[in-house]
Amino acid sequence: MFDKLSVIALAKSRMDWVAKRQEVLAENVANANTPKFVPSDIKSFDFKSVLNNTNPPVQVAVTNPMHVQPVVTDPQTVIRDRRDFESSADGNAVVLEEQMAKIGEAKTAYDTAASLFQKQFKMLRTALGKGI
Amino acid sequence: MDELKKVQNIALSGMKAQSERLRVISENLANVDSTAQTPDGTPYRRKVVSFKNELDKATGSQQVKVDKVRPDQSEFQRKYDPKHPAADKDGYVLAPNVNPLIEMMDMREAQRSYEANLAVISSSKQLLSRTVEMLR
Repeated sequence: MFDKLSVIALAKSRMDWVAKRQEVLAENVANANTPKFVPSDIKSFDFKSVLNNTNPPVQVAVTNPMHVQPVVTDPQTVIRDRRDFESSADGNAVVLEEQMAKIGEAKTAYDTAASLFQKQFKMLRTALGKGI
Repeated sequence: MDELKKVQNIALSGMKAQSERLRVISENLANVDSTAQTPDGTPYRRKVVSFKNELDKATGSQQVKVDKVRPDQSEFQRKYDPKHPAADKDGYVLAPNVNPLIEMMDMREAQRSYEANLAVISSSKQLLSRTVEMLR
């Protein structure tokens, strides 16, 4: 039921996105000294497509009523940084400062989405008459 | 949620690799004066660590592993010390090809990388606890 509420759905997909991004950034930081490693990032979050749901994930065709429709969650696209500058002599292109800044940014986004989520529920609780 | 757990695994693999590197650096530094015992012997040869990234099948993430610990093929230093048991007929002794300055620099880099991985772990922990806080 709550999945239909757009704010909650939005906050949920935002938090999913941040968690996935955190994973990719952790890979970059862990490989900060690996020769020839090129860092990756996640395609930026598209609020519009989540709001309008104009870009629904690909669904599997059901040809028989006995088939179970699998739930397909939208995969976040991992993109590789295509810059070839600022790489060290061993071909590693991870800039540690940049990665740490991105992690901080992702954390703020997560906090914002989580607060939004909580506020939405607080509003529901107020509407139910259960105090502030 | 699962991703945040993976984050910790990845960062842990990074910390493990960096501590392995630190171990090799400490070996090099400890053996900075390990000369040969005899005139035709070789002194301690410096070791270098290299990393590689490896796909962890269980989590599907790119983790970091220590690739190989290889000997540094650079020239040995020569010191003039005729009294030394390993001195050749001209009075020179082969000393290890370890430069303490380079080792210190390497050590700092390993330390910084380790700290960066630690910061990633603490960040993912904060996200996890924020998620739990949402229940309140």
